[in-house]
Amino acid sequence: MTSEQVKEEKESTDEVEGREGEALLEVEGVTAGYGDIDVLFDASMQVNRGEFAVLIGPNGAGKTSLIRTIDGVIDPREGEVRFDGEEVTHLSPADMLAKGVSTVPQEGNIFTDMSVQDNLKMGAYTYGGPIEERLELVYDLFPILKERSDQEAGTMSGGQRQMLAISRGTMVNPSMLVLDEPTAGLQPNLVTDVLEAIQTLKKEENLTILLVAQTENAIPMADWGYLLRSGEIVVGDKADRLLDNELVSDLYFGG
Amino acid sequence: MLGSILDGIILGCTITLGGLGISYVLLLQNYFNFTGGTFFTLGAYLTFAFLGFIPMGSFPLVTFGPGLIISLILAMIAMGLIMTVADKLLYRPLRERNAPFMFFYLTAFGMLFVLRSIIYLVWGAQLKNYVAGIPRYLRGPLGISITWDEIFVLIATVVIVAIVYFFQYHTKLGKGMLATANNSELAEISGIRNRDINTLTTVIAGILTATGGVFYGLTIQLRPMMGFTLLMAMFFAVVTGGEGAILGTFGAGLIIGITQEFGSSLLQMLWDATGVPIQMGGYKATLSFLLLVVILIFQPQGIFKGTPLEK
Repeated sequence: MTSEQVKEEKESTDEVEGREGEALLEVEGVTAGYGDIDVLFDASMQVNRGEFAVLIGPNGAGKTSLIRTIDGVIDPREGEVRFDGEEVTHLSPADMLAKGVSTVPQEGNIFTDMSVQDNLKMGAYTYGGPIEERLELVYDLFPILKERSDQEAGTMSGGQRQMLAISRGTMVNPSMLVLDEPTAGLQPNLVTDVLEAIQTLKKEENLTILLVAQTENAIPMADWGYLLRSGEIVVGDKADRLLDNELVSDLYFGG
Repeated sequence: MLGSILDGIILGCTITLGGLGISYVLLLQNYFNFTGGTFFTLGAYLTFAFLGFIPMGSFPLVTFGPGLIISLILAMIAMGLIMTVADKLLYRPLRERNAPFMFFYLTAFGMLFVLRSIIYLVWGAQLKNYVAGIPRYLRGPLGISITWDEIFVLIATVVIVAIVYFFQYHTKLGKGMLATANNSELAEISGIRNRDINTLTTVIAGILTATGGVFYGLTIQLRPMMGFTLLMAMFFAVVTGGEGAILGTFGAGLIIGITQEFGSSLLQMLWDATGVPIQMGGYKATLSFLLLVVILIFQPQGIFKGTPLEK
């Protein structure tokens, strides 16, 4: 790393710490991992209420681990996670959902042995309101799910699975939707469809979105972005400036 | 011989209930509960113990009265508690450490021996009956006869299987259990708490197992080894009926019950013709095992895959 890069990294980090706006999710100095091996080191980020934030980084950077730490699957060794001003660091995934954070994992994100409709109903397992309204919402967004409501989810195509996974995460009417690479492995036209659907959801449901992106496609529609590298948040900046960042270019898009 | 088919159906009912208990643990907690057979026995003996404090009373036609039903309900509660405590103390720590499945099997084996010793210690090795009365028979054509107790067991098993099926596939909680069985991490982040589901699984398994044991005791006798001798048949019902399949387990339970009773009667008839004095009734578990092997070779995905009984 050149001295210029280090300086830029420091400036970016300072900018993260000095963010304005009403924070909904705050991750502060989180160190976490699996067993004795840490994969996240002193990671800090903030997602403001109503914001669309992206988290980018190369393979193995720790993006999924950070998501799993936020949603309670991984218990961090150090640091703090706050949601809506309340400390939620050691809460279980079910407790995080009760707080309003719904996660759509990258893999294993649907109940393959269950029908499409049952998947959606399981997404609304803790939802207290009328489930029909939520079903209508996701069926309007992804009409194919209504057509295939009785189909076993495991028999659906990759794109349809992602639509179902996003819908499942939305059924509970969360305040924040965390999506781990929802467009991974999809055809380009489907990537656009899925990202537009997420954008629509954000507007219609007044959702806060944190999206882990494998490609740069999601960055233009985001408000704020973070770059995670080797378990550390090294850049936090407005999304429209993210693609111009030298570290992002060097580390993520190959310079 | 026709009577042995009827006996097989009744035996199949008790195998089904014990098998469903094992099936629930396998589906949700991913291990074969070798202790299932012994829990089956313990449920039967606990009912026997409660019956000592509760007057039996009498129902028409059958040999038992409301006392047995009340004792069974108490035994169900006791079994639910015992299995929950066993789960919390022994299995949950293993699950939370992601321990290898061999640890679960070893624990279940250990539990089997401990519980069996307790049963021998408390109730002894003698055969016991819930009632001393003589069962009344319903006699049909071709020399077929069935006791009213057996008719009760048959009807009660059908009702219990129907209730379990309805609960599993038509209630929110039942579907939550299926979701947890399918993908426990996704279930947890969907708000379906794995811990609660595991506790519920254990309680349901305890209730079904205790009921199976009582029905066996009602139609045959109470013996300390009764559950253990049926363990292979229960495994047969679970494996060939399809993992977690309620109707499939019932169907496979009936098949193995009939195979054991009709098969052993048929073999006995053949052996008797040779003049060699062998009691084929002692080889029922061997019949279960042989049929299991044959089905695993030719239909490893279960007997009812692709049929309405696969659920």
